[in-house]
Amino acid sequence: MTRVSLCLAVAAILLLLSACSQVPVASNMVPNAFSMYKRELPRSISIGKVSGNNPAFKDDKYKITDPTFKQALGDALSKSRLFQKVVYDDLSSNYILEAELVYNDKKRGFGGYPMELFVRYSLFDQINGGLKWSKDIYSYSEEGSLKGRSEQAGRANILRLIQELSQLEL
Amino acid sequence: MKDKFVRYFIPLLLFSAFVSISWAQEQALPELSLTKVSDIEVPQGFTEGLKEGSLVSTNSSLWLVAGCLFPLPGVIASAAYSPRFNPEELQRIAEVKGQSYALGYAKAYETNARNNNYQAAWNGFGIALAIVSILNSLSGLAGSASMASPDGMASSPVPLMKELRYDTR
Repeated sequence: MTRVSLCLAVAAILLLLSACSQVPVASNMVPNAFSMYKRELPRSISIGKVSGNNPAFKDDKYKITDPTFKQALGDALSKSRLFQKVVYDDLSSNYILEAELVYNDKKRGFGGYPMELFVRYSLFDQINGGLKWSKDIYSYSEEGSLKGRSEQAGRANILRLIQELSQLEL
Repeated sequence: MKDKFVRYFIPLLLFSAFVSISWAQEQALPELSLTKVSDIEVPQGFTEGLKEGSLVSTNSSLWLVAGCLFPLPGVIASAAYSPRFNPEELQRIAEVKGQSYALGYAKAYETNARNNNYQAAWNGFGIALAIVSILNSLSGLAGSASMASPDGMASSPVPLMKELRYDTR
């Protein structure tokens, strides 16, 4: 093996490692503290369908995927203690929260463009039936690596969601 | 000992818990300023435009060629150049689906196009690098093979040409 080939192999391994480290992690999208109007609602909420960025068709590693966001939503709602019980895909719970990752991108290259995240949330009332609440929440981040920006945008988005949910008459 | 524990340690513990909670809130709350809540405008809102604009495929083959032919300048140019959505087409979309939908559509399209151009230029850079390294390896292999053979020098074309030149004289 020549020296050039060896250098290329090392570069390929480094690229692979850097690509792996760019994937956003659910635990980094869970807020540390919450701003809420209520806590401990005597209700249960289920995290239902999360769509928009299927990892099977994912083109960019730094984008938040559906399973990662679903996990982060569940963890954050549990940690906030807004609802008594937080579960996943349970049709017997009082409410079902669905999310659609409409847009998660950043202009790459020169220029300090922010990482932007648009999520469409829908809260369904399982007991009385129907849509209880639905909003688009936009968040952005301008600091850190692509991964860090995605995570901060996701964390801010979830923080705002929990604040909005705590204002509802549930 | 118990009295000391109650008198000093428990207040210290409570104080540190209070400080850490306050610190965590300080950390979290500024992130709320990075967010905005809006009503859903279906089917012609800004978010709908973003959603559909990001699905449009863009052609970045020229940037691949540029990255191949001029690796470093190609990548730098792709990082600096911001493609713009066709204004006439934007006007047409705005008339049909509304201004906010058209803005979202153009924004997503432009981001997508720029990212694809950037990626294509890097791919071109990689292809150019791979071709150079393959050629380098092949020339290295050819050189070592000719050196390894016992009559390598005799069978090389340079002495042969010299002989031919000598013969024609």
